[in-house]
Amino acid sequence: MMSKVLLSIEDLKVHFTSYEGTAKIINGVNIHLNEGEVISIVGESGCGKSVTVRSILGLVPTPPAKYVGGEILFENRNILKFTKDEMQKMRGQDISMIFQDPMTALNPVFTIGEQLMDVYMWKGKKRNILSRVNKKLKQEAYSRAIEVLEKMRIPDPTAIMKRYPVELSGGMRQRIVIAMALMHTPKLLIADEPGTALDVSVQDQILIELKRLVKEEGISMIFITHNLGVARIISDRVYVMYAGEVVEEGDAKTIFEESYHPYTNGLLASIPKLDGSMGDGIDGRIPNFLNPPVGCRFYDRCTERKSVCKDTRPDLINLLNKRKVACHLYSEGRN
Amino acid sequence: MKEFLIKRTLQMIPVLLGLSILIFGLSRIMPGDSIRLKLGPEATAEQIEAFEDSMGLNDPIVIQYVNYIKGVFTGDMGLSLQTDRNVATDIVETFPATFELMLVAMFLAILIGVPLGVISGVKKDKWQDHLTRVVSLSGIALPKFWIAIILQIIFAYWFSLLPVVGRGNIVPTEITGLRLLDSLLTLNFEAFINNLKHIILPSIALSIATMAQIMRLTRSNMLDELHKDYIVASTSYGLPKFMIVYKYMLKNAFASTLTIIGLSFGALLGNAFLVEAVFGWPGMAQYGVQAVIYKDYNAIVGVTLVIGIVFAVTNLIVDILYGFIDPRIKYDK
Repeated sequence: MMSKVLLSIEDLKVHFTSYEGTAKIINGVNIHLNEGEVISIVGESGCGKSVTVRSILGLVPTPPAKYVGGEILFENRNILKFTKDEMQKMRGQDISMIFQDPMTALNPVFTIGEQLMDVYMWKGKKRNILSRVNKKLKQEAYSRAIEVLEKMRIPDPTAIMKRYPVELSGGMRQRIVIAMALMHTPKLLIADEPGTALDVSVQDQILIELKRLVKEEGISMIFITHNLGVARIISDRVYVMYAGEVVEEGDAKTIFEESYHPYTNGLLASIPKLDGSMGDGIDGRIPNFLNPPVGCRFYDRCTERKSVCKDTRPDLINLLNKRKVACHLYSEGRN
Repeated sequence: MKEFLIKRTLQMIPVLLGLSILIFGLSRIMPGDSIRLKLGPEATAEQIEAFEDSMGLNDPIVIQYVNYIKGVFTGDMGLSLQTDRNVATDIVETFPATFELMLVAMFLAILIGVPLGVISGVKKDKWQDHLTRVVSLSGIALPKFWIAIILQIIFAYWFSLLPVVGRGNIVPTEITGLRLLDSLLTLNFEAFINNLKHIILPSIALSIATMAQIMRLTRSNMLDELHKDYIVASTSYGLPKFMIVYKYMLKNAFASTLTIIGLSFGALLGNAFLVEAVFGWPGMAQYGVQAVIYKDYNAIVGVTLVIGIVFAVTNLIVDILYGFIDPRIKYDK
């Protein structure tokens, strides 16, 4: 089934300026997403997955960030060229985001209801000191908020509307954070590691809800996680990122059964086992972004490195079974 | 909430008692012979002795204190050596003027300081930020009396826009003693304009330091808010910038500004003396400083007590307001 491409990130390059110099954080990332599809981006902390997806919503402050190359096409329009107004219109309506930490993603001094209703009433609008909303819009907002809370299976939504975030449990807050993002039923939902701050059983429930909702409403989703198990359950395709580059791409089912890139292998080997062993881990640390290696960015930590890896950057090549990998161990067309 | 209020109000009693003991004791051990000063160089030892007896100054200090506190509850705060009147009468007469000045100054400080702080925080390192920072730093650094004099020169002397000294010559029917409020209550707009004109310069001079503090604190709180998750989240939901800044950020940022507002009420009283002196404002701060200079026992104690009460009540109000701003603050028993 080949469906329409909803979003494609083409050769995105983002640099950050700091006192020490220019950090080349995102170095030519290619990601695409079809309509109705769920993809995961996995990778360790600092690999650039958050910067990549936050770029889609224009949430990365410039400066310090600087977009030096590439484009982000959403329905064939380049988001990086959007004006402030276009960006504000798009946010929440076309693309919305679920934030990672439910403890900090809700404003502590406003009730849940007020926050939800504001998103409904003021999204994409201008506001000044004299702006008022009419009663009808307010009622609409109220019933929509209740509707979305019900969709997230939150018990007694009318009571929750009057509560402050501090009065609710972590799991409840995470559901509300998701509800906020769904107020306008976006075409694309970006989930930045939702649930990682929660305990495993609650996280599990929420992910199941999320997956069900996304399928029901026909929303496409980009799911960021460092948990490979979660990525496998929730997504159709998986991108593995390392140090600002996509190193491997493939079907969620096959990529974990047979991974090609040494980094993906290392990641899989790092998972702690229930038998008590800690997993092998990957020696070394992510490279210095101020002065990244000219060749493969994984060179220093790679167990299978060759001399060519030091000086030549591996391109993301197509393998036979629709898989892609950026590694000199493999050549175009090989299976 | 009710229990909190009762508890906090009761807590004020030991604070004020302690303050009264302290200041009463201090006023008695202060050096200098104010009775001789009062009666003049010609007074005989007997006359001085008689006068001290009449004021009860020769009783043991504990007896003096008990008598004083008894008096306070019946509205007798002792004789003022400066005015030969009951100190309570003097305070009732002068306090409204100072209080009105402080209120207007605080109002200005908040009205101007908060928005400037917001703009400065949101436009960090842009020209708006640099400008407000220079202004606020000068506001903190420059002496109040100097600012007062400069204001007089510019607005009163050069441009003759506003009166130089005094509290206004059209006096509205007295209800609260706060003339701006009284003139509004009695719909006497002539008096309102007249008193407003008189209060503008002194209140600006008085408010500048507080305004600068409020501005700087609001700025740094707004900067903290800018990168909070929930603010980035609000942006990602497509909410208007104006709403994010003035609703979602400011309410969070305002809590600590409120603390400064409460505390600077005390500082305003201190600064009020300088401003009152420059503008010939018939207020309590000026009366209090005169009392210290002439070692006017009862006036010193009286004025200090009033300042203490104002300070305690203001901070009680601030504590209550926290609850409205931040639902995380609960008033437990």
